[in-house]
Amino acid sequence: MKRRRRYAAFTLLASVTMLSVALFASPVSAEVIEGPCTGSATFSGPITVTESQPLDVTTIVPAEDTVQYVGNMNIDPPSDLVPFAGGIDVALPPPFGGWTVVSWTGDTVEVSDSGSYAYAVPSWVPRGTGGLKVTATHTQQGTTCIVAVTMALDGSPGAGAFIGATAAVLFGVGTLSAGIKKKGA
Amino acid sequence: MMKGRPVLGAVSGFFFGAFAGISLFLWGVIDLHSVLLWILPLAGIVLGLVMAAWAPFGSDPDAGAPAAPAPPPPPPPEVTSEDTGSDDAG
Repeated sequence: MKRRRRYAAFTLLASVTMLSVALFASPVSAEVIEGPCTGSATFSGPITVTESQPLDVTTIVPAEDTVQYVGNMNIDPPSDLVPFAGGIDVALPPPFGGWTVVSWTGDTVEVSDSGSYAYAVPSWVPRGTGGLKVTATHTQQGTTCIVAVTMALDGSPGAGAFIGATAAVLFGVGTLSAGIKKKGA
Repeated sequence: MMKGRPVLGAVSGFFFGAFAGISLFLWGVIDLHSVLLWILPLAGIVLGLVMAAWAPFGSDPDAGAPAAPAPPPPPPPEVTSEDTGSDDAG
């Protein structure tokens, strides 16, 4: 009996320690930038996101807007067309990696770009959530730029949040009921 | 070894942790790339198994069991004809 209690206490202590390490660990490095690029995106409000914004700062952006963007590779412009490639990924929890939202490829003589882009996030994407780590990558003339920011959609949690919370409570009761003694045990 | 229900504990614990993590994200408490989203289901499994091993709920089958019946009294000593003979002699 004593041995079993010690085993249960050890397992519980191990899980609590694991959770504490995860909860109190310092956040990952600040802004993740690779390469000489600079840029910014301005949403209505105005809300401006730049390449130097720390990752632990979550920017709340509208679900539907027209964004003004400026980007510069800060490298010498080519004399001829050169290939480029890039895209935008949203990081998913490990081990799932990332989800590519948009990708681009082609040939260009430019090393900078600016303009406006209208977007509307589909209604099924949850609003008011925790941050989404959005990473933009661009490769051109042997130079790769990687810029990451943390963003979330403006709005309040929808029905999905209530369904998730209800399911968590139900399965929590199921977990506790595993502690009911079996007959004849 | 396990006085409770380990299979129920592991399965319920996994989904408890998974839905708890999803809820925390949907309510804006944690980020989508947080490690908690995969640690919570694992911790849920551990919690379920601990609950099954500990089994703090329900009546203890040993505590509620009736006491064992008392052993029958020893049989009385047999009376032999030699023992009763002295009475007849008097």
